Amino acid sequence: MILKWILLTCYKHLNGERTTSSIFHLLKGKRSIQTVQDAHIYKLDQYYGIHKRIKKVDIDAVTQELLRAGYIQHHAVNESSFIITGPGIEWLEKHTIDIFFKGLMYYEKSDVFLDRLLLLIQTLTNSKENNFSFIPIVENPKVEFWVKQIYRKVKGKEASFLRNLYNELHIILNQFPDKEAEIFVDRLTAYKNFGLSLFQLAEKHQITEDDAHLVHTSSIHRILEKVENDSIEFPVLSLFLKGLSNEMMSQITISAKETYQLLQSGYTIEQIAFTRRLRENTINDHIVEIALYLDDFPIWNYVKEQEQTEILQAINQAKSHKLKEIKSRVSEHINYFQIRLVLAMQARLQKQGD
Amino acid sequence: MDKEIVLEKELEKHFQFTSFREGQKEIIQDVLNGKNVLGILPTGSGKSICYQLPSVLLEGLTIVISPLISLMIDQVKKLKAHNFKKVASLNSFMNPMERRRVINNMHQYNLLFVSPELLQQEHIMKLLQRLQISLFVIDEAHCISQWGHEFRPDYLRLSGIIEKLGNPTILALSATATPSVQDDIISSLKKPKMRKHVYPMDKPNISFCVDKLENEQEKIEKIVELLSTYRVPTLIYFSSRNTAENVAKLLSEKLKEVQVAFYHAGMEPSDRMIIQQQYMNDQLDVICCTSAFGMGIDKANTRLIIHYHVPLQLESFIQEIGRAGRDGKSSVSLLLFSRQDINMPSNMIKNELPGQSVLSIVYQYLHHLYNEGKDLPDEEVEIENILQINEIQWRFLRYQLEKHGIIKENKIIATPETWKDVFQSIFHIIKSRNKHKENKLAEMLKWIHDDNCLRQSLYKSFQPFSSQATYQCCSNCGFSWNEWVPEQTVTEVKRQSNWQIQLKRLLIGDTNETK
Repeated sequence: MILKWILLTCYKHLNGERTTSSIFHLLKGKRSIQTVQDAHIYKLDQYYGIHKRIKKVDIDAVTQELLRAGYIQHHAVNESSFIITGPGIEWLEKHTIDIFFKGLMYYEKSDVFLDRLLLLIQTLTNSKENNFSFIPIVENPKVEFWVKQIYRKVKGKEASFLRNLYNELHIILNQFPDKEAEIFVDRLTAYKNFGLSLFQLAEKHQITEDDAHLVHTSSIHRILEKVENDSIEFPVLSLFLKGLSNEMMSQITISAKETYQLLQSGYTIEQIAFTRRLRENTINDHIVEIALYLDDFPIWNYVKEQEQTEILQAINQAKSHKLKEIKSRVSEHINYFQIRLVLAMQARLQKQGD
Repeated sequence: MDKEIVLEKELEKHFQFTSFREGQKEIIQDVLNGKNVLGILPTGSGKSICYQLPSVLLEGLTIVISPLISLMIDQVKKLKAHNFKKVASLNSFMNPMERRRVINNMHQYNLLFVSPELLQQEHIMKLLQRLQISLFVIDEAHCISQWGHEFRPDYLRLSGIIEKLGNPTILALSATATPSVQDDIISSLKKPKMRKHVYPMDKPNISFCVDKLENEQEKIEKIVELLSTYRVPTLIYFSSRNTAENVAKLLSEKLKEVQVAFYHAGMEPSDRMIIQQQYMNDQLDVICCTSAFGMGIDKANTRLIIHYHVPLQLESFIQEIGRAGRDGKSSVSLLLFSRQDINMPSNMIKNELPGQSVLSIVYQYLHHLYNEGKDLPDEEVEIENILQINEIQWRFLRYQLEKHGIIKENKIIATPETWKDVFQSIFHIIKSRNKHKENKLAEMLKWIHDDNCLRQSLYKSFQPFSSQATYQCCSNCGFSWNEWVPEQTVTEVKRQSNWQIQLKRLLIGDTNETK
């Protein structure tokens, strides 16, 4: 039902301009400019990377279901893409689902946050009972290292730490739909009590495994949103985000950060240059720097979709990242700044893909 | 100080056990004295202590050869969980970076698990040759024998490897090896003076039942009937992953209050771990599983083991029922048989090794590579994908092709003129292996239809005599379900639908729970 709803929404937004594969890449969170760009252009960025383990066959099956129900139909020219029908729109309007995603914002952060939370809860509830031999629920050296560090500080005070964590989670989960809170809690592992597998969750709630996964992701995104908005009220949960949101910003120079803050306040490049008494080219350098590190960098503010496509093609043709080579292959009106932005985006996405 | 007391102290210090189980100490003493040992210890008797303790006490590295990568990973995980940190594994599932990390830290480990095919790689051998290897352990040593139930060609090369490593002390371990397989192990390792420590494998606390039914429907009914009467930790073994899943779903629907799950090697590793741990922690009553479940699981109170399908040989059957009643209390093995079952195991046997059509694909593929002047891909997985065969099939073929001098590592070294005969003889080997397995299956079927005492006939090819049943003996000796009254274990419904209560329970604990 949830996957069905999301797919139909995607088809509605894509309006036959992209194939089913692009939805697959979107939900999986494929690290390519094309996918990120599509997410923005078609206003589907909230769904980016919300189900990294989804299988193409599952998407195809639901698509067939939508087709049979008459909610979508083949595009007149492009047989492999679909457009939403009148009944499809009606169905979407009739069924609202209470679910919350901020995919492009959280696709990376939510995994680390969840792994840290699961492993620390398992560790503390076990050490509280003096049980030091348990099979860790999360296998990720970076997360293990983080948990070890926290554990050293919390050792001996497990009960009070867990109580505080409980209080914060209780406040947040209380604002969730009951089913979502339940699914979130069902996945937790504590002393002598292992969380449910996705299959077990699906069975318990009589939903598909994909939907169980999506509801669970939604609960994590909701928690992240609450905690980020009010880190003072949720000091314990904020701990789990430490080093995550700031990781990329810390790599940006102080001067570029200032530029970034002004950009966010709505200043134009000219205005920033004027206020900061810097040359416009310097501000451009800052923006390229930001694009290198910022996950949700709004590249389309500076380079239109068509221009991006043109530049990407030129990069492929030139088989080189030399600006001059690329510049000679694109339309006259595209400037070096725009090429550098696209290259920066690509570099960032490739780096994350490693 | 008396050496025996010292050993027990070490056992407690490192593994928190206060005493040895049958056979462990004798084997460990021999190993510590540098004697080569063949140890046959029944499933669940703590075979692994026989090398884990020496690995701590001996200077230098203990290498353990283990046939299944998943088993290896499980063991390392478990040892680490029990604060045994100086352990690592090397296998072909690891990416180069992980492997390098292990190789660079080699001097820090006491215990290293290695999959046999990795020992074929020269750089790994060179590395190991530079280290002091104090003990070389061959786990599941029956894999060395053509006549063992899980022959692994890679195991045949172990004697050469042992020699290259400067003949460290050898410990070969198995839970199920007939006397002829035992002899085969010793002669393959070229260590005729090996000391045999053979312990009886029969389980006096298990009652054996065979139920001959008409069809699947009746099997399900029987299982539902039993599980509604007995709420005890239960394993149901299947030969097919799909059937295991389907029956698990069916049972969940029919038996609302019983917690049922399935388990097989096709699941994500994290899901497999979750199910194992839930079963260990009494969160699940019943697991519908394939043979992938159970190795390395030391749950003491599994009471009932049901075989939904006919196992392919007595050895795997014995291994699987060995997971019941490790606490010595009365437990039951029930094998469900219907006439329709006979085709399935023979088909499985045919598919285990590559058939004629696969062989001709391999032939063509090699031909193609030869003409293009190319080598085989470095990644085994890639080859397996191209040829559409599984790991075991390819390992078998690789061994045969190397043995017959067609390939060496990844290079094709013979000209195609010679290939025809070789493929003919590989095909012969496959045929005779299949024949052997057919015979093993026939043995299994014969046991099912035996009118005499099932306990005696089950163990007779493994040991001269078996001990008296502690509780009821078998369905041929008048087993009655009415007389089987095991202690019912009630799995608490730990996952209730009120998330508030659940969250509090998990993080803070039961406030009204008496300690």
